[in-house]
Amino acid sequence: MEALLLGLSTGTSCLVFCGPVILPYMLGEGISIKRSLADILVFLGSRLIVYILLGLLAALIGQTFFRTEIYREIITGSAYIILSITLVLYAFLRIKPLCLLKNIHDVPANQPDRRTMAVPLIGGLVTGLSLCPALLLAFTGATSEGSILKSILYFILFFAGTTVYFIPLMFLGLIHGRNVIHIIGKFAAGIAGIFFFIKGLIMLINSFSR
Amino acid sequence: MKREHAKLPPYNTAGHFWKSLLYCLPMFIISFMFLSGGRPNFQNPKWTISFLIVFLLFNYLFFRILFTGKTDRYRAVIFIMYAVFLSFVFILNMVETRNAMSFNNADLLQCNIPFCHLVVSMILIPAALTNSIIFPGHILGGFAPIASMVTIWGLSSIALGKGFCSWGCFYGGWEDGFSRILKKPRLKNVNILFRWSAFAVLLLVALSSAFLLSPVYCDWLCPFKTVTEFEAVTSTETLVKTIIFSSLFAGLVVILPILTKKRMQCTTLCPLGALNSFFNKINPFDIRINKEECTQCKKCINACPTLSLDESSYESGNVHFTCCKCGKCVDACTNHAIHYHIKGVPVNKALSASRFLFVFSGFLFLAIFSGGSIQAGVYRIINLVTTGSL
Repeated sequence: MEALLLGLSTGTSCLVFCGPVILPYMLGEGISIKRSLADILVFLGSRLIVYILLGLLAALIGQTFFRTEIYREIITGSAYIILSITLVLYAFLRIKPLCLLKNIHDVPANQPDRRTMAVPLIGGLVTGLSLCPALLLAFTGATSEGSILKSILYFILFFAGTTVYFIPLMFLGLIHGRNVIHIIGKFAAGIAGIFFFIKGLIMLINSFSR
Repeated sequence: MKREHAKLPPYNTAGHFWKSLLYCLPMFIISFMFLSGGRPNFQNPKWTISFLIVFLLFNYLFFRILFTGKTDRYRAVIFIMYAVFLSFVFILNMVETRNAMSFNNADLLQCNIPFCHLVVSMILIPAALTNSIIFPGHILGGFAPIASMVTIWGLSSIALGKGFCSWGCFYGGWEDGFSRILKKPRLKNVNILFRWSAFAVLLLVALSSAFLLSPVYCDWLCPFKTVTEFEAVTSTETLVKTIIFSSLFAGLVVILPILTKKRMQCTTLCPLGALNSFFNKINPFDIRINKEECTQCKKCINACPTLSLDESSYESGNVHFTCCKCGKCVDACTNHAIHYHIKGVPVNKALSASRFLFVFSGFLFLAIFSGGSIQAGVYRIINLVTTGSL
C-alpha cells in the first residue's frame, strides 16, 4: 500500500511538470491513436525500467547497511518522518519538484514526419529519475523490504501509482482537467505524507519500546 | 413579482394549504406502510406511541416543506435525528451483544461487522477484479448485510445523485447538526479547492484497498467509528488508529463544522461523497440558477455546506457537481433565483413540479431509510421513562 500511496502522491508531479513537455509531442495532431499509444507505452515502459533499477539499488543498499532490524526501523522511521514532512510541504506550498525533462528542449511537437521513439524513451527515463520527496520516500521504503524481489515489487507498485494520472490523458487528452488532476494529486500527496509521518512514528515507538 | 415570474406557487397561503395537504397524501400512505412494516402492532402501547410520534412528525415536516417552500429547514430535522438515533441504537445494540463498542479479532473472523455505505467506495474494484468482498460482514442476513446496503446505495444514488449525502447518509446529520450551532461562521472564506480533497481520499483508499484487499478507510480514517464501533486497542498501531479517527471526528465533524458552518468531513474526507458526485452527472435532478433573476448577492455561496457554489456558478447557471442537493441555497435565496431542476427541462419552466418530484423522492427515501432507527430510538427512550431501563 505504501508504494502505491507514494506513486499516487507523486504522479501529478510527473504529469503536471513533465507532462506539458512530453504530452504535446504525444498528443500532436495527425498522429494515429495506434502511434500515440505506442509512444505512451514506450514512455511508461522506460519509466518502469528506471524504477526496477532503483528497486534493485535500494535492495542492495538495504542488504548492505540495514542488517540489524532495530537500526533499520530507527533509520527508516526517521527518514519517513523527515521525508513525509517535505511531502506535506510539497502538497500545501507552491513548490515545483525538479523535473529533468524540463532541460530537454526542441521536442518536435506536432510533426508526424519527424517523430522518433527516442523522445518518449528518454522522457520516461528522465521523469523516472526526477527527484521529489515521494521518490526518496519510496527509495527509503524499498531499502527496508528485506529482499531484492520485494524491493523491485515496491517500485513496480510505486510506478503503478504514478501511472494512474496518465491514464485519462492517454485516452482523453483532457487538457482542461489537468488543473483538477493536479489539485487532487496535491491533496493525495498531503494525505500520503501524513500517513508516512504516522508510519515513521509507529516504527520509532516500536523500536524504542523494545 | 419575482415569485410570479419564476412560476413558483404562492407559499403560506390558504389555497396552497389545501394543495399541500393533498400532495401529502401519497407520503402519508407510503410512510404508514413502511413505518409499520405492514404489520402495525397497536396492541403494544409503547410501540404505538413511538410509531405515532415518528409517523406524525415525518408527515408534519413533509407538509411544512410543501406548504412553506422551505426544504433544508425541515429536512435537517429528520436528517440530524437519524444520525443521533442511529448511533444511539447502534451503540446500545453493540453493548448488549458484545458488552463493548469495540470489536475484536473473533468478530472480524466471524464476519460480524455491520456494513455501512461508506465501504462501497472500497469494495467495488476488488469485487470487479476478484469476485470477492473485502469486508468482514455478512453478504445476506444478519444486521446491515452487504447486499442490501449496496443495493440501497446504488438505487438511491441513481435516483438522487449526491442527494444521497443529504437525504440518506446516516452520518451526515452529525456535522449538519454541528454546522447549525452558530448563527454566523467564525471561520469564513474556506478555500474552494478543499472540495477536491475528498477525491484524493477516494483515489487513495479505492486503489490501496484494491491492492491490499482490505478496507483502508475503515481501518485508518473513518471518523464515525467514534459514534458506532471501533477496533479494540491492543497495540501501538491500534492506539494510533484510535487517536486518528477520534481526532478526525473532533476536528472535521464537530469543531470545523461549528466554526465554518460547512459540512467539512463530507466535503474534504468522505470517499463515498466523492464517488456520489459522479452520480450527479447521471441522475435526473440538479440545482440551477436563473441568471435573469439572480442578483449575485452570494447568499447561496455562503449557505452552501459543501463548497459547491462559487462566483463562476453565476456565469454558468450551474452548481458544482459536488452539490448534495440539501436545499440550503434554495432556502437562502430571497429572489427564488436558484431552484431544483429536472435535466432537459428549460431552466425557468416547471419549477414547482421539479421541486415536488425531487423533494418527494428525497423525503420518501429519508423517511423509509431512517424510520426504523428513529422509531427504535424513541421506543428505547419511552422504555427508559416508563421502566427506568433502556
